[in-house]
Amino acid sequence: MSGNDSRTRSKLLIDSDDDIDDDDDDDDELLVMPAGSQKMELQIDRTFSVPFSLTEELNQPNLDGRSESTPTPQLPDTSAANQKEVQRQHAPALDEDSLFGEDFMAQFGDDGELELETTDNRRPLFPRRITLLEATNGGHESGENEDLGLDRLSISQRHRTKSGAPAVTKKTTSTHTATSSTTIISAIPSRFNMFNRSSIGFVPPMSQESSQFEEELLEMSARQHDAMLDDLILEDELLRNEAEDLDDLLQIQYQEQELQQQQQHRGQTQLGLDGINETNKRKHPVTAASSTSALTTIDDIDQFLEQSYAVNDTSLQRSIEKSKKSRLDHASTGSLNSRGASLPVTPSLQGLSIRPRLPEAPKYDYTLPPVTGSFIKAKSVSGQTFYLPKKVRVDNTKRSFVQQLKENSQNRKPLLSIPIHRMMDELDAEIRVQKQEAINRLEYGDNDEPEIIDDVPKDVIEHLWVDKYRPKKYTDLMGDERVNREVLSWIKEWDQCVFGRKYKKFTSEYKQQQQQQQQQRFKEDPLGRPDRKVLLLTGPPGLGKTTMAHVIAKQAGYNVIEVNASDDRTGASVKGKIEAALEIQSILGSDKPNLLIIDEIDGVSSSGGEQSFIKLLVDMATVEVASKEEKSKSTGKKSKKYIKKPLMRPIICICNDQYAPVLRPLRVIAQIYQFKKPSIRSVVTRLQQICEIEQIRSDTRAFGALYEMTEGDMRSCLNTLQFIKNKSKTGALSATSTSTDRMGDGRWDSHGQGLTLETLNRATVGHKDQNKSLFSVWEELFQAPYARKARSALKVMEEDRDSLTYVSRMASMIQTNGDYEKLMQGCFENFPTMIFHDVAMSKVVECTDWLAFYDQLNSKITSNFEYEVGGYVAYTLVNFHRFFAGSVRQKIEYPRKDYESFVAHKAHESILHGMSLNLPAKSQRHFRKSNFATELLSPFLRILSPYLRPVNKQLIKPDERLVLQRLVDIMIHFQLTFVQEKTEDGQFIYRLEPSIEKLGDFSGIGLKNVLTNRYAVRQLIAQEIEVELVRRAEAVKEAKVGMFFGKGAESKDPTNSLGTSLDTVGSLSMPKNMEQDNFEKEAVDFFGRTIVQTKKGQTDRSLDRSFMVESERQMKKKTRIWYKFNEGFSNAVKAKVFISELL
Amino acid sequence: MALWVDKHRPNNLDKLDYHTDLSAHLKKLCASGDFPHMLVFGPSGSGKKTRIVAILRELFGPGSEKIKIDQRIFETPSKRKLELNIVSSNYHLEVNPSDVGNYDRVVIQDLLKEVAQTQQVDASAQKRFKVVVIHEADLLTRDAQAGLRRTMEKYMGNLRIIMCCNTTSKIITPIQSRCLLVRVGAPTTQEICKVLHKVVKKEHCGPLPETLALKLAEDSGRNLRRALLMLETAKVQCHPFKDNQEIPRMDWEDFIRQVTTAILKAQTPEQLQSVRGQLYELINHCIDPTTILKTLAKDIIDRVDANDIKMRFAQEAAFYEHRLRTGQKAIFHLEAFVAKIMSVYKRHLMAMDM
Repeated sequence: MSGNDSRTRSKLLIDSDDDIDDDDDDDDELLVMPAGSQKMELQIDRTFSVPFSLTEELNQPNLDGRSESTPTPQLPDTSAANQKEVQRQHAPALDEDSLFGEDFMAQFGDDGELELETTDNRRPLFPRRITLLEATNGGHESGENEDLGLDRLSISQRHRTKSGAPAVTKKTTSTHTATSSTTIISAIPSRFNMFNRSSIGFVPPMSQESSQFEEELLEMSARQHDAMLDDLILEDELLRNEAEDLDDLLQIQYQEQELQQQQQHRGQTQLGLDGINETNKRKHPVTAASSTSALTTIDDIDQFLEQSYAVNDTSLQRSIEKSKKSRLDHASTGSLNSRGASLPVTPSLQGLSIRPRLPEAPKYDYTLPPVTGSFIKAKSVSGQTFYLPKKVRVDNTKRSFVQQLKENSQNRKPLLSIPIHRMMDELDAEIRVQKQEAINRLEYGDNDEPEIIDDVPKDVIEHLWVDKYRPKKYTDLMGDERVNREVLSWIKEWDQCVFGRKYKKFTSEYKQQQQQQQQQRFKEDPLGRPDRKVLLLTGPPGLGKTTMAHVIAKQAGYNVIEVNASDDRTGASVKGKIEAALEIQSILGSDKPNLLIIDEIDGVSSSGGEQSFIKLLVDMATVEVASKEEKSKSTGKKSKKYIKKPLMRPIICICNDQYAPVLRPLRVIAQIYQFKKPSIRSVVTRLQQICEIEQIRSDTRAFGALYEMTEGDMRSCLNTLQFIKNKSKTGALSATSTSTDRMGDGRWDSHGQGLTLETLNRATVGHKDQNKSLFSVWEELFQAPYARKARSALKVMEEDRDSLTYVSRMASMIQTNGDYEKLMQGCFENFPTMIFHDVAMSKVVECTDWLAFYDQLNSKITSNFEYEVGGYVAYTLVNFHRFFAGSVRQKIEYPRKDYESFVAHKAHESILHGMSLNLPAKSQRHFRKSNFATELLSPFLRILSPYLRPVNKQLIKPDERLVLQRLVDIMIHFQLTFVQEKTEDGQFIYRLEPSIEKLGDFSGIGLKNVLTNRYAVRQLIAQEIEVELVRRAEAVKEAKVGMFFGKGAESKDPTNSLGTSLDTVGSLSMPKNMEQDNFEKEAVDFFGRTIVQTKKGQTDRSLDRSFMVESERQMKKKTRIWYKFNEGFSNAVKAKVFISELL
Repeated sequence: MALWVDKHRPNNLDKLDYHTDLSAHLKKLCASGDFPHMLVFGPSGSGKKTRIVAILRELFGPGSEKIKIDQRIFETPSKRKLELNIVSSNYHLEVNPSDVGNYDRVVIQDLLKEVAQTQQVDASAQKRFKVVVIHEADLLTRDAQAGLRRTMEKYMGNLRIIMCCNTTSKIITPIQSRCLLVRVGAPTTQEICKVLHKVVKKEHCGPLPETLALKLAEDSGRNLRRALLMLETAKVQCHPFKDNQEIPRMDWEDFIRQVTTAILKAQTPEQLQSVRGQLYELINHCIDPTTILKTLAKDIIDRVDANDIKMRFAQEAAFYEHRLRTGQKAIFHLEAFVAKIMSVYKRHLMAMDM
């Protein structure tokens, strides 16, 4: 603030009046703050972070958030042990029952004297405060101090309100208590920071009272400034007299009776909390002061208290609830309990306990500047100037103060006679006993106190933790921050399109360059949308994809519309919906633009062809390309063609399996982000936080195990946690004996709830029955237990349990996967590459026995349908673990060889099949598929490759001609030929067809000397084959013609000419035989009668029509014409009829 | 023009070159009215099928040589269609049920019943029954063989069955007892040589040196079919014949030889894996796994020196061949055999070292 303190001060005084008028709603500020309240508050925060209870401080060490350079070597917040240590040291030196175990205590006696106790003058009690004080003493070094002083003045004003009787009288009883509690008395120079703080933090507990309170203040502010100043003087005098060197003067108007009442009540409830709610005691503000937040309602306060008490006990909550209920009752219990004095005071009270000040304190003339030195100038409303002297700190007088304090306290009842920690312990013990009693009562049906049932918190069913602890804002998100950031920036990229503001992406220069290059390559989107219009988030379940999408979308200012599997998602039905979502602005709801989240998109059906959902989505996302071009083209033309609207709102798709076939088209156009499971550390930290809030005793190892168990699935983690908590709750109530036993063990704390490896293990539900992937099963199989042990906490647990029964574990894992064949194949193909110790391959041999067993089981299942043996299949696989599991993580490859081999086998088999079909019938008998490859093929290929010179046909020597002739014969016989083909590099080759070459082609041996590959030779052979085929076809014709005239024998050698074609037809092998058969057959007809006329065969049914035509032509020379019925075959109905007979 | 194997195949019992007493016996049997079911067995290349064809000719005359190939479609109970080629004449029918694998039972049941329920139509036929020739009967599944049992008795009037197989050990005993077992032994090397000379003479391709003939006969493993094929190969590669002419072996046999070398070279899992690749390749090339195992075993036994080891290997080969038959995944068993061989051999070597 300003350097001129006097001016500021007076101004502030006036301001404070105004503020009281203005700040209706904010009671907190109203009470405390003059103008510039913000800053002051801040300062005060910093200054007063210390003076609440140590326990508090231990729990929230960073509350003030400021690392002040305090010259204090022993901050009282180091550790509880330390604290106790300190106590032990100092306790003897002081009056025992006046000590809290806290460092500092201030008391007002009944006589109104203020007494302050410090346990140790060597030790800075409230270091920060002390710093401040020192600064103050040094003069007007900083405005901060002055501010504080002023602030105090304003507080003193509030003090007035308390003492202002008319205001009080106006109020109802309830408000009266409230008011009395709210008013704070002291307006003191800057050293009274502590008090100041307490007043700052204080909030009137009932919000409805605020207006009354305000009125009161208004009144008072008008009337009582003078009086206030008097008071100020009074106070100061008092302080000076009593403790000139006091570090802090803490003044709270406090009724002794009230305090005792409170204490007594606390004793009754044994929780030490109810008093707060009951009467809104002074201590309350002190507690509240620890956090500067404004607490305006009882609930808030309660909640706050819960936190500040840092007692991991749900019973605390219960009792609070109870106290709420019975508040009025308690208020009436005014009798002083003898226990009260010895009962614990709440931590907030530990710092100070103050009694009302007496009015007859010596006066001090504030109208004159103090002689002592520094002062603060203040102006009253009436314009009178006051000088508030600043205290000079004298350290060595502390001792005397303490002694004084002690002396004073001797004739008074001390507030706390037992150190707080002891009291807490007692409290704990009592709670335990109480619980036990409650349990006993429940068990034995003694329902004397129905209240106890209410003890069970009602919020058990309130929420799933998954929802309760769902991240609400971006910073809450877990998981890969890069993904989070990129998703956010993707959404932000839409800003230009959606909100019309430019989103500047923060990128490195290099990236920017790249982007620029990209932009040069691609046209920038005219609407300023990101390159990829659809976002696809993928990853296993429970990693928070949906949550993340929602959170980010909300954070980016969108109205989220979700389409998930619960909706009908056929293309047609969803089309309208999506379009509506993307193009229509909601009127009734928020005015935010829409953002579409399509959850579980891998579950959409791919059916529907053009109308399928994915297709639709892709169309919508890509429509801009077309429309953009069209627009650019059609702006001039103004074509009236319907142009689809470009996508104007972001779409986020979420799926588990990005490689689902349905998503294939989407993958091309979408920006894909893969979710990985969050790091174990982040998960554990989050779980720990939750456990803290939920008051589950926890164990880091257990978290690790939980993480392993759920494979990073946060949802599953939370569900398991909640389950365990609920389970242990009921368990604690039902099983008393065990829980008490456990208490003795120390395994269970007094609350009976804890997340340990044991509980986790017993909670069978938490185990995720997850279908493990093939690879993970393989990895498990080939990984030795101790290698895994190092890796995961969960496995340790399992290992402990069944170190010997790895078989069952492995088997169940294998059975869960269920794809035995693939698993086996993978194991089979991978085990020789594993590193294992083996003597003379005995392990391998043993393993192959198991393989054989597996094969037997399998063949029983597949061929004999004996499915009952299927249960044993998994165990054959376990043996791979037994034999080959190694400590080193070994690389496992996907099994392909078997399939490749299978494919190759099929290909070869089909060649073989084709070949064997081509064999002439007689050969086919003797060369079956089975022995073709083994016996025939190899020599056959060699027979097919005699040595031939690549010369012109005309130049072939006679002996070579013979060889060629023979080769051609054989090839025709087996229906082989060379086919010209063009290879990929443009060369022509002759390929054997069918390509039995391949069958004989073994790697490592090759066909070097088998089949000549020379193009010219093959060409020669191929030509020769063709020529020969033509020649034979001619010969067949001639032979048949000749045969028809009965001169078949003379024409040519029929064996040569007819061989091939008729052989393959298979009906008649040799013309000669046919001839014979004709004679034999034609001797008798169907009924065995001899038919004389027919010399020529009915058997020539196989002759074709063209042949008949030809033969008829030849017969034209004769006069007789034969019409022959040529279809069908039956000797019985055939008879020769002359045309003349028909005519 | 067919290969020499086919071309010079004798087509009646009289022309058969060896086992003349068997031929005479069969001829008598055919002449008598009571022709039994027959189970012809013997090593491959010994002339079983030739003999069966000759028997058919003897039974039905030249009509049995007019054969045709039909493709029949059978339907399994699970409505699967099976295609099977059937060689048939008017008098007989030849099937190879093992072509359809596990469904051979269906084929046997349907086909045999169909044939058995119709009588021989041709009144002039010499015999009143038809013959069904079942090739590769040892590959019949147990079910199919069981299906055969009763049919053989029930339809005796219309049907005779001639089964052809390599070994009777895989034929269930009820069937064996219903059949006349005809063993066709492999020809001796001398007999093979005789046949080879005869063929060479018929083909007019010069004199065949005696040593070459003997070598061919020996290399063929007393398999006449192979011997003839090798002869033709030899002729194609080098004509006129030479004494010391090199006779090419089967490609796949060469390949198995490589496998053996690999096995004997090192006995480690890595080696096992490379051997596995080779085994896969053999299987790919449609080489029967049993043949692979057998050849491999023989080759290994040939190439190790210690006698006790040889016996051990033979024993293991038999053991794993049995497993191979009971199982489905050939590679497992082949590899198991290789692993076992490696293990035994390694121990043997270690013992020798010590």
